[in-house]
Amino acid sequence: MKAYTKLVVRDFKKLYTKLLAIVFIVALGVAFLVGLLTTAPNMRFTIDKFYNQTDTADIVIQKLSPFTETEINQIVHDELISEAMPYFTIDEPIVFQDAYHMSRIVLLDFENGHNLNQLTLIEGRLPNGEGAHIEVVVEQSQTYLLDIPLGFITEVQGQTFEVVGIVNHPWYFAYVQEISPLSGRAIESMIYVDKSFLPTTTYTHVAVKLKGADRLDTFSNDYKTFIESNVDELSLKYNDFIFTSRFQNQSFVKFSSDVQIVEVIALIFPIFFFLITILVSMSSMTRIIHDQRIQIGTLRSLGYSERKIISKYIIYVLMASGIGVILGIGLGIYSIPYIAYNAYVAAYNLPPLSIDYHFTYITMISLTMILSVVLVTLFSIRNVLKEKPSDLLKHKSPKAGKKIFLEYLPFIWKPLKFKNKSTFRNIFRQKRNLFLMLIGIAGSTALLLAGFGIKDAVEISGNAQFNEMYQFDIELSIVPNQTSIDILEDYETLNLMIQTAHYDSSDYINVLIPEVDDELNDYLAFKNLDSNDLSFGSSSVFVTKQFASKHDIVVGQSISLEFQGVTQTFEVTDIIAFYFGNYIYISNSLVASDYEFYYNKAYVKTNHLRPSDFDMLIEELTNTDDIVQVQSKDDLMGFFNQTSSSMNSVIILLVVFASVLAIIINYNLTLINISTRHKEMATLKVLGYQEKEVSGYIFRETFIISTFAIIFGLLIGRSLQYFIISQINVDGIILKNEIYLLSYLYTVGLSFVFLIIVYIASLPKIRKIDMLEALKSFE
Amino acid sequence: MVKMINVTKKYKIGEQIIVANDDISFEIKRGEFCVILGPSGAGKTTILNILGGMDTATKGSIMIDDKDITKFNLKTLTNYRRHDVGFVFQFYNLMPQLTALDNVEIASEIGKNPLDAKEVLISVGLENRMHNFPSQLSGGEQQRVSIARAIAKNPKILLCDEPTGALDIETGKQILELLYDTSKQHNKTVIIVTHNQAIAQIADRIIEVKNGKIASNRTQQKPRKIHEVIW
Repeated sequence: MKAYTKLVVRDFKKLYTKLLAIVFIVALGVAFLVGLLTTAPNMRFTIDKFYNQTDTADIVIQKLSPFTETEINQIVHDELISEAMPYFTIDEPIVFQDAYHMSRIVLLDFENGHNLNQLTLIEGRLPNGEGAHIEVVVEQSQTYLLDIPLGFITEVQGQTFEVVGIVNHPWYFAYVQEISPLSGRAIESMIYVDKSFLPTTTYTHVAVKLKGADRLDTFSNDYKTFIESNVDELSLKYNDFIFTSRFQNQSFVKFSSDVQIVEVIALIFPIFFFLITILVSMSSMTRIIHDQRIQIGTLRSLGYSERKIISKYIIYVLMASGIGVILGIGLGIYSIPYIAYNAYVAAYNLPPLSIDYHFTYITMISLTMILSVVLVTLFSIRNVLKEKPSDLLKHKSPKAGKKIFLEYLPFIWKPLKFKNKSTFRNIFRQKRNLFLMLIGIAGSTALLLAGFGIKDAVEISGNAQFNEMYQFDIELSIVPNQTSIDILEDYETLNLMIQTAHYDSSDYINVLIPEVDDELNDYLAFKNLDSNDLSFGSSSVFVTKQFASKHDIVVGQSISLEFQGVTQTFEVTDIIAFYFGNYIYISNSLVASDYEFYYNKAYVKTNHLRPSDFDMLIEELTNTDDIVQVQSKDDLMGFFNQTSSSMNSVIILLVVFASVLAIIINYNLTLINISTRHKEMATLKVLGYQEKEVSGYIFRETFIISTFAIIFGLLIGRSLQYFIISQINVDGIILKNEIYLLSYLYTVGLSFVFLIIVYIASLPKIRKIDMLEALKSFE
Repeated sequence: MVKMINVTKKYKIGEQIIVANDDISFEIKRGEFCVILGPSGAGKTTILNILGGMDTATKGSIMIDDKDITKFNLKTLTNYRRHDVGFVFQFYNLMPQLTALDNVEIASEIGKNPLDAKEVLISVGLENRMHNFPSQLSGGEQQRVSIARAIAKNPKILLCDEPTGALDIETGKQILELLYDTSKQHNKTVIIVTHNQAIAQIADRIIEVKNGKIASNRTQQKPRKIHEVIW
């Protein structure tokens, strides 16, 4: 007993470097698993916490006309509602940097504080009504909101506003565009002012919290059903109210879909990492046990029980995987969620990430990992114990050679050089190594290609839309019907009407109607989903792909759209390829004749104006009173660039992981290969093979297997890329399933660079092989 | 000609220094069939390792014809093993995944002036076993492959470490006969290291090693024929 314990301790000292490899791979595997699997839950947790801390409303109630006092009272005292906060908003243009910009002015009770939708102060202070002007705070700037500085002064309804603070409203944390419903113009700033600004107290909105909603996680199905059933009940009670829940809040929607992207990407990898971890641990453990065959045989012949012998290796592997798991949790729990979150935060004004410890996830991952490693160890030791002790005491003869299938194909086999023949036989002799290497290298190659491929898909989609489809150079938002603009006389322009329409009562979509139908083809080069050119004409109704697939709209189908309070039916003539945003393009001859047309948008072609002249034109247009917004093609690409840059960081993460993984797997397998076959290599050295030739003996195999694995990996990687981009189902983004040829080259190149790194790193190990080993029979 | 001049080899095992060869000098002429005889631990394998360029001497020089291999660097020493020396081991050390023919070719294909691998295998009596893997061959056959591998390189010297150690008497005799014939027919220097006194009866030269030193170095004018040897 005591002696055996000593043996366990002694052997541990001898084996600890090999066990360290298990610690390392388990740590890495657990770090990836924990990190990737908790990233999306943590992102959601952060927002849920943010909602709780800011007392974010569950529902905002609106009405076409202001609420009466009775109605407000009814809402406040409703049994379903725990808290209510009535407020008032108006959309008003303000002058900022010499131009008019549509602003949403929200009247809140700053004097007594407001109980819901607390503003988070970013800079400055909240209004306290002491200054000479009316003090206001503005929403933090983002892609669609102006960067209004502290101290900025403007006139609204004859009164002077002074900006004293910059804030975040919990309903507007994403970089999304809000449209003013009456004018159809984009909201470019949000101004919060005390309600005393207007003499009479009227309310257009009531923010409410529902009883019992607090304890539910915003992102849970329970919350969703809870809200839905409450909204149904409230709708019956107040049939002329409009209810907007968090699920219709644009920031929430965008965030949810972005988290979904992270989740999709994150879900694919755990299976792969898990498999690799198990395989590498198994090969390391098998190697350790194989090296101790004689000891195991001796112990068996001395009468030690199987259980006792097994316990030794189980102790080792429990220690190694236990330490690995702890290290992995520490490593993964913060790093990966932080990197992913910060990559996405680029498109949001969000609080810092809150980490929830997700004990269930972590416990499950840890237990599964440890259990699997223990199981594969049991499997290896059982295999050894199956042999008779007397056989164990003999040195196990190396695996015998046998003919491989290639030898039955003389036209391939005959012309092969001798050393290649031996290489091929070796490849098939070490089937487990072959398998491990194939999975490892194919897997990491696939990850690399998928990473590059996602980046490509974003770029290709952007290019298809902004460079190939958009033939115009500037998009203008114009004060309705003020379309005759002097400075545009020399340029080709097309006026359009943009109008938000309700579709199917549950969704809304922007409808674009050109003033002259066939001219639209000069500004937009439409293509259908098979990449065939389409021509827009007097009977055309074009629906963008994502919107069509979301609502299962097919060519020839009739769709109902409601705008300006009128519902009209249109027959869809084509589904068009479109990647960023969703529109329905409708011919003006199809719209009811009594419809009140007004043109509030224009496409302008500047025909290769010199950059300086182009900038000047933009400047002049911006200063034109009737023009609400001037967007060059570059500006339009803003959203696309934002998406691609946040994706890039995730991709970099992916590529780095895949690379680390590739190198570790390869190095580990090479070391195993060298240790399994050091005798063969020693013999070669004795025969007078130079160092390069000896390493070539091992690495020829590695390179051949790797080449196959890389080809295999490219195939998987391409499918993986397709899978990921098809799962990225963010509202307003759909990606083209394409990849650049160059990405294949990069992937192959990188994969071989990793191989060469491993090759160089293992050269010293080969150099150290002692020739005199070859003379000895036993190790 | 193989000449060892005042060769000393020391090993350091932990704190202990072991002198495996202590100031050894001897000369073996070209084409001689030489047996280095001695009990286990006498240092005879060390002599073979140093002679074969697998290990380096601590002191002294080793002349192979007119070259001192103690002056060689790693690369030239490898080339020396590649072109000038053939090894035959007690446990054959064949590549298990290669056929008999492949195992011979693995040596001949890197030689400067190699013999044809097939012909060599025929000459060691394995014409019908060429395409078998080592696991399909008997011990004697495996040792024949190993000798064929050593000969095929067409080396100057054949170094054999207990070549019959793992074989039964009859097979052992056949192997010795093969080595002897090789020496005589191709005028090759063959050096056999063994603790088996019987083998010494057929040698041209017998060098006895004891405690790392040369105990005796004598030639036999009339060595016995192998079939006359009493085991």
